[in-house]
Amino acid sequence: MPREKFQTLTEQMFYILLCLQNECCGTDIMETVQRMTGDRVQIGPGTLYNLLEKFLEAGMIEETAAEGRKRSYRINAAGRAALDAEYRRLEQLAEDYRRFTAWPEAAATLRVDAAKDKDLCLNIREESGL
Amino acid sequence: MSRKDHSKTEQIRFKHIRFYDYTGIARHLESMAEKGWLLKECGRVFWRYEAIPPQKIHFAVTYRPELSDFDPLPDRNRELYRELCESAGWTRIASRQSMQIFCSRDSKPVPLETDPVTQLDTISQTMRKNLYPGWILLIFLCCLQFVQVPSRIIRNPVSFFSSPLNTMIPLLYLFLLLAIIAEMIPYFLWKKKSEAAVAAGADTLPDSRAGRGRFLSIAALLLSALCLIPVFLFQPEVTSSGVLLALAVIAIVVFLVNGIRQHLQETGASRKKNMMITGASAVFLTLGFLAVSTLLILGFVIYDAPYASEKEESNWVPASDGSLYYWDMKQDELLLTAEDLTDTGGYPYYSYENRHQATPLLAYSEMSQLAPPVQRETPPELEYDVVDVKWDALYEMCLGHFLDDQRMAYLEQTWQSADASDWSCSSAWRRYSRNEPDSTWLLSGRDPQSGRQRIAKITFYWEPTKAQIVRAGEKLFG
Repeated sequence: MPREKFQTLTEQMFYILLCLQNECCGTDIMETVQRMTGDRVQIGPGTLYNLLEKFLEAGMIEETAAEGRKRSYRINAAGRAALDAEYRRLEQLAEDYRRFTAWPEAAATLRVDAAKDKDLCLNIREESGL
Repeated sequence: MSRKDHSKTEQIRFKHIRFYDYTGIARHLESMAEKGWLLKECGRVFWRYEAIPPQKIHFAVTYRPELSDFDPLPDRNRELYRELCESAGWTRIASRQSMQIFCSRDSKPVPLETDPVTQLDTISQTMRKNLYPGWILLIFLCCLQFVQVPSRIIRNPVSFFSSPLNTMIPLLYLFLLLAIIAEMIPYFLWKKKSEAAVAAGADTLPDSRAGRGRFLSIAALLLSALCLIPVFLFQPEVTSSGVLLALAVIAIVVFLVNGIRQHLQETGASRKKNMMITGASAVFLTLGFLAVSTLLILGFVIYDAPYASEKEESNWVPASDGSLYYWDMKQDELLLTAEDLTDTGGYPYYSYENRHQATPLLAYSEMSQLAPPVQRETPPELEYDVVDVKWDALYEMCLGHFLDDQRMAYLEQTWQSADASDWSCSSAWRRYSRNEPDSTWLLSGRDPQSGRQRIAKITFYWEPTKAQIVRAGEKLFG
């Protein structure tokens, strides 16, 4: 079933919006997302450009500064709402998995791993200024 | 297909890869780089490469549907896009309309496009903007041609089947249509496959390589171009000077219009203004050159008789009122002349004209022996059409074209059977105007040399005797 535009976010869309909680320019977004995800998610410059243009068109982010070829952006209320909605959707998915999984021991292990990652996430937030 | 420049530091190659085939283009460029050639410029038909040390380079092709050749330069969005790509290690090396080509010398560069949803969306939008209009227009033109063919055949089968232009052009459009279909089908199949992949959550789009389909479309295009050869060689109205003039006009107009577009781009004119001015200049320049060409032709600066008379003389002929009349005298070979039938008294001002055109299906000659229309006493004159039917299936249709001529009813003319034996043919009809016989006959028999079916319609400008009729029949069918 195809995704409707921004009703559910792809991984790349999600992380771009997450980055833009603080003012950020395009080139920094690519590096930050890689660091945040431990190189698991890579955003190509072509994809980044297209998504930033689409977010601007959809009124989810705003351009905050333009210096020569560099432009900076920041998420706005509409973008935050989309991000929150996606987070709630993912949480619901996770909750449904925990409730209905045939392997509850595996679900318990994932919770422990998530707690360990929390410290790592805190470090990344500090470095990125988020 | 490639040709080497004399300096050996550049190479020009025919562009044989489809516009949307980004994986095919990237693979081709990687292969060229390993052989020591880097893309420098991508034109509409030919791509230019410069020599480099052979090396492993990664290439990527992106599409931006919002880009246009009419956008002012420098364009802020293009620069931003370039900045982002350069920060990821990609350098732009060439671009054409909505397509941009980048290269990276990193061993494992981050791909330019990492979201298949967005990538498919931009490719689809680009194709809709760049190729769909052309496809739709060409399909419409092809269908328009095919729709017109039956009515043109019904209206005048003799003119249609004897004309290389009329017979070849529908074939040309048929091959063109096949070429378009061979381009469209692989794209829509790939698009469908990609949409399914995206819906299933794939990380990348399927390979865009179209395989043999490209070969088919190129073959169809070549065949359609070959259809023009008989037209250039055998269509009487198409002359070498005319073709050269047409090509020169097209080249000059394209050059000037492109120059105007580039100038407006560089001076910062908006896209809308650029499109309007460029479009208007294309129309006016084309009309202007056509007007000049027409004046040149009418002014006999470039004069090449459509029916290429072997020998043509121009004379000033004395008219009956004492003035001089300009009279083009043609000296074509005719099957039958007035001198074969009667004494013309050595009349010096006859024009013998044979307007002939032929295809492997039909040959049609309009022959006439006429005097200038400005003298009180005119000598005997003749006009006749001869149709040689090479494909027997067309015989009834061609004969019907003469027998059922709609204009005859308007002029109160009819055909009535006549004695064919005098004419040495199998069937004969004489024309009656308002129930009175006139000096026009329609005849059907066999060409004595080839044995093919022959139809002749002959008009005498005097009342012929039986002996003259017999003699004429011997010349046409004997």
